[in-house]
Amino acid sequence: MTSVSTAVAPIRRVCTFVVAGRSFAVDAAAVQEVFRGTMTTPVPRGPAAIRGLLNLRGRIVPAIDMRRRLGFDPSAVEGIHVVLSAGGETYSLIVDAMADVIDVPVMTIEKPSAGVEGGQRECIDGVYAAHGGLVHLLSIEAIFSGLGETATERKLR
Amino acid sequence: MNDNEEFVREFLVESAENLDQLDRDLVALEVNPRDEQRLASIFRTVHTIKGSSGFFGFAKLGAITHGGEHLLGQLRDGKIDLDDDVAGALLSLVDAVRSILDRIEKTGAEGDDDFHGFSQKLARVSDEAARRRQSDGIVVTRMSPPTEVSLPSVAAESPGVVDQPPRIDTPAAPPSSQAAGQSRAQKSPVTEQSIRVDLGLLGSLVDLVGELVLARNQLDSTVRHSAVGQDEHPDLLKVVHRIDAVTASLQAAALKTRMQPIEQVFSKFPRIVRDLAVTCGKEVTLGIDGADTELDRSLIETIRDPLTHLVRNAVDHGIELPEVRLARGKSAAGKLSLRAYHESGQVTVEIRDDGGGIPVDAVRNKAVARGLVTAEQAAMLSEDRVLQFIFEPGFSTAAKVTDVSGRGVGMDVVRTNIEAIGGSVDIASRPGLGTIVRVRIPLTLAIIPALIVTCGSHRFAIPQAAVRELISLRAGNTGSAVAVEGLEGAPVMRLRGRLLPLVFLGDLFGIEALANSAVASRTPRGTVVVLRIDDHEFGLVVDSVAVSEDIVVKPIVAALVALGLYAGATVRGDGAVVLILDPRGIAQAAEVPTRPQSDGTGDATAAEEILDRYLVCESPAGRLVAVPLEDVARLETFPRDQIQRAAGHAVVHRERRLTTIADIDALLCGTPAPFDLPGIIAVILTPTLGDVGLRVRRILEVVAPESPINRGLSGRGVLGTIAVDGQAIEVIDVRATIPDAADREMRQVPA
Repeated sequence: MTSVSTAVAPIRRVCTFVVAGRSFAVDAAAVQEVFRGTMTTPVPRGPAAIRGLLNLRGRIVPAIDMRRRLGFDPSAVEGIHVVLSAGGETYSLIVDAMADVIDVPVMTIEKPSAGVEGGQRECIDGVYAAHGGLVHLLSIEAIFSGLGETATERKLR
Repeated sequence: MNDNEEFVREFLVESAENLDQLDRDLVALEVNPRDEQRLASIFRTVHTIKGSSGFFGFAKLGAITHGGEHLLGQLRDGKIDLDDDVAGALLSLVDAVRSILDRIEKTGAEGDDDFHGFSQKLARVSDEAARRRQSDGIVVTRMSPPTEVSLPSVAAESPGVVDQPPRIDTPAAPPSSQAAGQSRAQKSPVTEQSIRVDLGLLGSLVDLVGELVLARNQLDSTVRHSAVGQDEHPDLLKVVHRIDAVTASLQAAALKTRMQPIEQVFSKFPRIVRDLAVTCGKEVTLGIDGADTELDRSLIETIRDPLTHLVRNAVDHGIELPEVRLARGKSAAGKLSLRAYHESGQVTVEIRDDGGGIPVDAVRNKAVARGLVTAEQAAMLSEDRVLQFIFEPGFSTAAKVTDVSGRGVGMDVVRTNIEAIGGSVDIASRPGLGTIVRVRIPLTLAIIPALIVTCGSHRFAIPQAAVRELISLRAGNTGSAVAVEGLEGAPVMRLRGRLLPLVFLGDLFGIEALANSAVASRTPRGTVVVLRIDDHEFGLVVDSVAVSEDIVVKPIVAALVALGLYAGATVRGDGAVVLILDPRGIAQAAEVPTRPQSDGTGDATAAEEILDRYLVCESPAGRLVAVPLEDVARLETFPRDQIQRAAGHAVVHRERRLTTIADIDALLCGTPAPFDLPGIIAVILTPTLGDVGLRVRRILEVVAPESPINRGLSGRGVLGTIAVDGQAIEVIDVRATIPDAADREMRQVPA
């Protein structure tokens, strides 16, 4: 975790969180801020995974319910917002709980197992072992881009 | 040269404006070669550029402008005529100057392009024109005494460039760095009152004002809702009012800084049209109207390409070759007119040509060939509907690809670009008569007036520009306005003799709302927001209208824009996010029956208002008929098992009464159509005519015919015929369809 090891073995600094009892992670550099639940405005006929829009100091940011996005049962828990920017767009991910920010040596990241499907297959682009379990690395672009293809939107056309 | 940079930049900006003016002046001069004032102005402009280029040491620029000046001098002195060659040479001079200036702007130097040949060409054109003039043997008589092009204070033949000074009386002034500035001051003293401001700076100013408006809204609602504040600080409310007023003025002023006349776009068109007409071998007169119409600068940039494309299309595809036009009994020169005007918070730009129109059949065939519709479907489509296909990607009917257009990447891009800024494109075309394209664009995208409406627990904003009126559906007001279940569950409402399609926002969005179609016919509730898109209207039913206020439009992510339902979002005074509805998208999602522009003739709208309207439907046997709208109460559908037979008529039970269902086909040709559908659609007539419905297969549209009803063909239950899109449609005499009509009207059952 020192700068020396950084130079020797490439690492990815990731921010880990919990969704439906499992651990996930995104690149920490994309994370802008983290805060507890706030009021969101629902988007009728919008993608199912978008819980609503939130006002982030005058900016309109859509909040993605990560339970829905990853294909888990929705929860009544208000959740925690993790605001991310990528590709010029900003979204907030609603997760159950935050874990920590860690440096993962790139060589320990493995390909995701073939078993997962749906939203998880789309979003997970790597797996590594930590905390005595598996942490799933998510591709932020994939989380964002898959949104438009939900059943709700298809129904609209 | 460093000290000069500032001046060079000034010179470049100045010259760019002057060149645009030159383009316009030259094209205008071509039309009216005797316009001496214009010629003088052209001369002055070229002279100014030449003078400045000498000062800055731009030798090539100096040389070619000198050649141009010479040519213009000949022209002014009446030694040559302004014919095509001369006009072409002068326009290419403008292009050459522009390309050198571009190079200077990018690299700081004139570059290596060789303009020697060009200068020679200018000289040759001048000589040839002079020779033509002489060989024509025309005695040169001037219309007025030669006007000296006066350049009282303008400096300076620049030394070094001039080897043959044109005949201008110019005080020999010392080379002056202010040449450009002075000539500008002379041209228009107004410009001295303005400064150039960086666009980014203006943008951030408007953004900040937007934030201020939000904060003002917040302050306003906070103060209003806190009695404490008012008691403790009696002046607080006054301050809030003051801030309110100042903010409103500031907002207006800030938005105004971004407004620019559409002239910025239009000014390029005379040149474009002229060049294109020459290339295509056509004659085109361009008329421009409303060039001073203002709109947001960012929008000006966005509409430039689409409008250019439409203008090119009109010249290349629309206007016919002179011989074709003459054969068709038109003037050899086609007319292309551009008109911009404000209309209900929007800017409309109309591009109208009197050319050959769009070949509807070719479009129809192409649509079938491309698999967009089946041949069967295509045959059923109205001409206006067929025209919509030209907005499909890669759709072009041009038989051959020309340099100009016809590559099939056009109209779809035009529409996409215009719609991206919340605008719309309509097209109307009549074969042989011409084509009109109407582009509607919002004035600004930054801050717009909007209605905040509620629907269940949701709030939405609706841009005020689209709102025509508000109608309460609550009991007591329903005497004239009753919402009912209509065709295939599509509710309609009768509004001043028109059938207004209704969309229940709650139903559309799957929101539990007070106002919904399930209860609408029994206990109507909510408010109808009548929205107008293009030329048709529909009613959006919401629970209530909360307030009308200015909102700051904020962008939403692409995934939500793609839904097509929302134009953006805004933040309310309480900090909550509210989605802005896109009326057009709502109409599309709800599949509201729409009808494109009825036709293109100028005063059609005025005439339409006074002409009667008719409901056009298809009888069960497939016959097109029209019913006067004033006789129609509503549309209803009945399942087949509700239909009974009584006294030789089909009847249905509704609202504990029997309604007779009349058979249009039986009336018109004596053969009743069989009941072969699971349900029937009936046009229920107004109660004064008794409980009668006309059975139809489907409803097509409500039309205002181009001319009044022709009663020459009446009889057999037909009142006469109306013309709709060139097709004659029989108008049903509804009274004849009603069994014992007269009888029934007498003993009207009290409700």
